[in-house]
Amino acid sequence: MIDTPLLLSIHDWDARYDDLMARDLVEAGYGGRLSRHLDGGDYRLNQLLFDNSAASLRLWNFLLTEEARLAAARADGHTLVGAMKDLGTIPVMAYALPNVTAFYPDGAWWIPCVMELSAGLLSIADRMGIDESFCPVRAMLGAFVSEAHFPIPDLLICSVGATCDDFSAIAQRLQGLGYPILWWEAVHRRQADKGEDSVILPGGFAAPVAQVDFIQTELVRIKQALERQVGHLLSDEDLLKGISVANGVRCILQKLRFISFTAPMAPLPALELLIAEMLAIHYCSDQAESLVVLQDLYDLAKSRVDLGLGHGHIDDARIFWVNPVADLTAMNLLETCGGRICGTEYLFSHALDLIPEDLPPMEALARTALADPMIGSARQRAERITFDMQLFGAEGLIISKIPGASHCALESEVIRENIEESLGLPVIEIEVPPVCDALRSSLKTRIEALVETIKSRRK
Amino acid sequence: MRSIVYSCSYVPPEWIAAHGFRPVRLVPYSGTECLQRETAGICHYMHRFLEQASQFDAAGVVVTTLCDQMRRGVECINSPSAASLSSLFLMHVPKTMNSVGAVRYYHEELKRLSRFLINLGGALPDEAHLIEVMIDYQQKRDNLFNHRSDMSGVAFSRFLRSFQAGGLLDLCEDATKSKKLIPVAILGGPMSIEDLGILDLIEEAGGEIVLDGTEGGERTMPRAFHRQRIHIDPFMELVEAYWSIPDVARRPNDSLFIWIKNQLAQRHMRGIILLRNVWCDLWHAEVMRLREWLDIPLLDIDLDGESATARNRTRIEAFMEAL
Repeated sequence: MIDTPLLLSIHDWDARYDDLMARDLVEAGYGGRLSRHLDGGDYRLNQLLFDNSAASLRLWNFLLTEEARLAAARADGHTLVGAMKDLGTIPVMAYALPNVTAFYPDGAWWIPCVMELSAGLLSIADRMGIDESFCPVRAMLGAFVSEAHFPIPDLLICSVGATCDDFSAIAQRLQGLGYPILWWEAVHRRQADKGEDSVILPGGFAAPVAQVDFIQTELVRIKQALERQVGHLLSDEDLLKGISVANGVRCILQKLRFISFTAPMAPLPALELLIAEMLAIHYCSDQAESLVVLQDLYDLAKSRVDLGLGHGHIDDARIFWVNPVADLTAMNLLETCGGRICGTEYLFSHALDLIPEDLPPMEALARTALADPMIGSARQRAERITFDMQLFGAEGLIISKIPGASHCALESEVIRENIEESLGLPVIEIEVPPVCDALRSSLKTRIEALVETIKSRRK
Repeated sequence: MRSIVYSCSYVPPEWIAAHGFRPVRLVPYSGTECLQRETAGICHYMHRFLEQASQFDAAGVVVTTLCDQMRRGVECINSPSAASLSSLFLMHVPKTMNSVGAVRYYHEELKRLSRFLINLGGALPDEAHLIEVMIDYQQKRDNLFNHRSDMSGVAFSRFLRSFQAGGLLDLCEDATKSKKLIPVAILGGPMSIEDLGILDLIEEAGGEIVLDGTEGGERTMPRAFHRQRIHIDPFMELVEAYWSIPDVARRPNDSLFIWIKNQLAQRHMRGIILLRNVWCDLWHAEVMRLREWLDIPLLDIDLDGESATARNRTRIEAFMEAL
């Protein structure tokens, strides 16, 4: 039975939970009331509005129990791999090895939001000399120092090169504190020179073959380090299987995104879709379970669409969202203002595109890594956003700038110009800090203005 | 001779000169109109460099990816709404230190730069010509360093920049060395012409700059070319000499700290003044680590494109007084 989609507060969810349990809801081992996470300090949940489905309950419980899952993996003797910055490539390799759990310490950037600054991670970063002029991912530094949020990984791997200087600087600070890091070079993706061979990457960007070859040699270096750490060789056959599993996640996510962005009414809220997309990067430390969680969400979305159900109204402004937000409440705000998500580019589109399975596996991963929107030009990124906006029928764009991030000040202008010139659609830029309560009214006004503009252009 | 303007210490001027161009490492001046509206987060140095490079009568401009702002700034200068660069080469300088592949990539990028220069009308140098140019540059650098002890630290820093600017900048005024000053080092990122006024301020406050570890200073000079290897494979020797430059952006950046440690042992400075551009995350993130690591005081000064001397005079005077 499909219930009418509603947005519930965390306290409303208690009654909803009782109702679902009375209807014999079968939960995963990490299941339970959402409100229990408040006891663990996740105070921001008090401010969020959640989808009322069992699939969303499972998604949230999966997300909010990652720390316990990592601790259990360590207790079970798993090798813990901390992948940093590349967003999606290294975990594919890591999960293809036995008894390895990979995760992104970068994910700590949401802890200040979820715990409403009570964990003190930003204060620790301040004390380490990494102040608010840096991207909120500086919370990662606090998480390492406090050792209160994830076990210290057995192997830390970080991509550097054509990456944002904030992250590179913060990761170097981490190494300076005594956490050894295995660095690998992500080169600036460029166009092929005259007479130089190039290949098309997943997602449609092109790159010179020489760059693919270079990334492949870098990834081979990482593979060898993983093998040494785990004490097990990773065969091409096993890596291909790993790629196939990763593609399973990406495939279901692609379907979920497409149906959600193109349906007449939004079958899932913006917030749950954001969390779902994040699963493609690191599987929330359980690859198999992430597939189940996403399948549940897709089944729900499809059922709702088939029944003509959804959140909001059929005339909600169809908005494409660029960059992830540091404060999750901003996603709720979109719907409050009469908007809905019709496409996203959260800096990791390369983690959503299928990894080629008809190539030698290391080359396939190299091509995927090189498709990272962050390592190429902002104009290329803008072109992909333009393409996706047309594909999903978006009517406007929100560029959510990340406070302090070195790339945002420059690329936002390029993206804005590109969209305004090529599609003639309205664009707004907002900036969302980890806790945006003080800015809520101005954010609301800006988003409302965009929604009004979009609706007035329909006439 | 036509000029090639470049931005970064990892672009060997010898390589440009050997192709028949005059290499000019542009030191921008402040206070010009901006390419796009001033926004928090945009490095003024990058902004001004690219703006003035686009106005420079050069055959081409070479910038690198060593800092993310410069990598991304190139797109702004090439946007339809901004002034355009006729010929721009964006060179990827790998940051990873522990990878043989990264050195090889740097090697290949310099070869790609060669093709860019040839397309602009340059000539591929044969080995003999490259050796000749490399030795010429080496001698000029040696001359500069040989006169290091005869001139003030400020004059030396200005001479270094003038030399890298291909002699186009006359930054060198009074080279007289003062007596009985407090030895200090400067460290950090690149400076505009106006920012160089800070160096005078240090001297006026009683300091003697015995080490210039800023971008464009001694730290960013290549090591001396090896006498035998330069004749065996000059290009490889060039690659290795420039690859070994220590920089804050390298990962890990241990070589920078080793360089500082060695210099501390040799120069006996009593304090370090860190000069960093205000949106430079790379140097900003190292301030605390340097303070923890050094056993001499460090003064952190940010440069924002406005007059650095006026607002930093008191701080520098107090720092020198405390030393």
